[in-house]
Amino acid sequence: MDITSSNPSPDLTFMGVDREKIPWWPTIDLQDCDGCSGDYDCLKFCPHGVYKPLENSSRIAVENPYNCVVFCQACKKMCPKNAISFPSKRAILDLIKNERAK
Amino acid sequence: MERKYILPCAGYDRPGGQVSRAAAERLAIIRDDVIIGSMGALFKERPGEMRDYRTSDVFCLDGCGENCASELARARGRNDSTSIVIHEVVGSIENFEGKVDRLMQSLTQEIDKTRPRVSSKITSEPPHEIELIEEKFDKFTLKVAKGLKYSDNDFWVSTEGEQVRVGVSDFLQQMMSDVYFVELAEIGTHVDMFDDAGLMESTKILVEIIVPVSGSIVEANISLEDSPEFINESPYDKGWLYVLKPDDINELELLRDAHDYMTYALAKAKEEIGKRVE
Repeated sequence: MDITSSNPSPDLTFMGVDREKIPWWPTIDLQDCDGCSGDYDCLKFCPHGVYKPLENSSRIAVENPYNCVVFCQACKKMCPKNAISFPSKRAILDLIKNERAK
Repeated sequence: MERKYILPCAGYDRPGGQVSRAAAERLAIIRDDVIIGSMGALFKERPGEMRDYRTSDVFCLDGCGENCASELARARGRNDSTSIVIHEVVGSIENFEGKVDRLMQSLTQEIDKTRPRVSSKITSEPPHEIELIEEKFDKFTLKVAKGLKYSDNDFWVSTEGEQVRVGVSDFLQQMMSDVYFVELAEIGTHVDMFDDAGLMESTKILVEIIVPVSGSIVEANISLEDSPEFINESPYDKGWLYVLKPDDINELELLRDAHDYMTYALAKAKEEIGKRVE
């Protein structure tokens, strides 16, 4: 059975490091997120299928974190509530460098 | 059509400056190939001004014995400009209108002399012939320019002396489809590797410009503001984004070379097509 078919996470590496070893994806502040009253600007914006609305709640969740493009944080700028955050680029780059050095 | 960049004397409060300004302005109205340069912008090397300056034939109008326009043109690297000394041209003509007319005639004559350019070096364009590696995939042909380094975010870097130029790969250009708006960061902005600086908006998607190298932006391709289609038409050439002074050129070792990037981009292209088919 192809377990990846329901979760189209890329087999790709990023800068030679397995994508799944790179913790780069958005974090949602559920205190601030109101799902844009059902519009979900981040969901509409992101073409990589990272987001999915939470069931039984008018908020958004990260469904496919490894689909997120490393170092892209364009959705953060789309969020009217400023409820999206990302890890530090420098920390992620250091992590990538360390993984490459292994 | 070669553009004609006319640099009028900046002594606007003096007769030579007034006559040269008026002649340049009137000529620019009647001729499509004429643009008027600015001494101030040229002095400060404003990017848009420098682009016009480097890509045009240059005509300096010197209003007095200081010859400021010609001096500045030389100082900005052009030794092939044409100098017109106002008092030599207008001679004993007394009235202002007569002087302007005479200068316009003289300038027109100079402009219409088809002179070969002594120096045709245009530093704001990528300096070398681009050799491409091409691979067909599905109905796409991916093109990767040899000799450049590539980030996994699909931006390229080329080394030009102590500076680097960056742009988008042909793969990213194809994935974005038609770009209709480009917003660039300001000259002087410092970015760390993989910081975003500006964005591109296409009919399909909004993409951040993720700069593949740390450094200070020294030039931005402002022609993209009027012609964002250069990104699609010519991603490795006219569609370049920034020239930077890199902090550490060794960072480029983290990036892929052309062949490696082709393999990566093909895999990504397959992934993208796969998503569409699902």
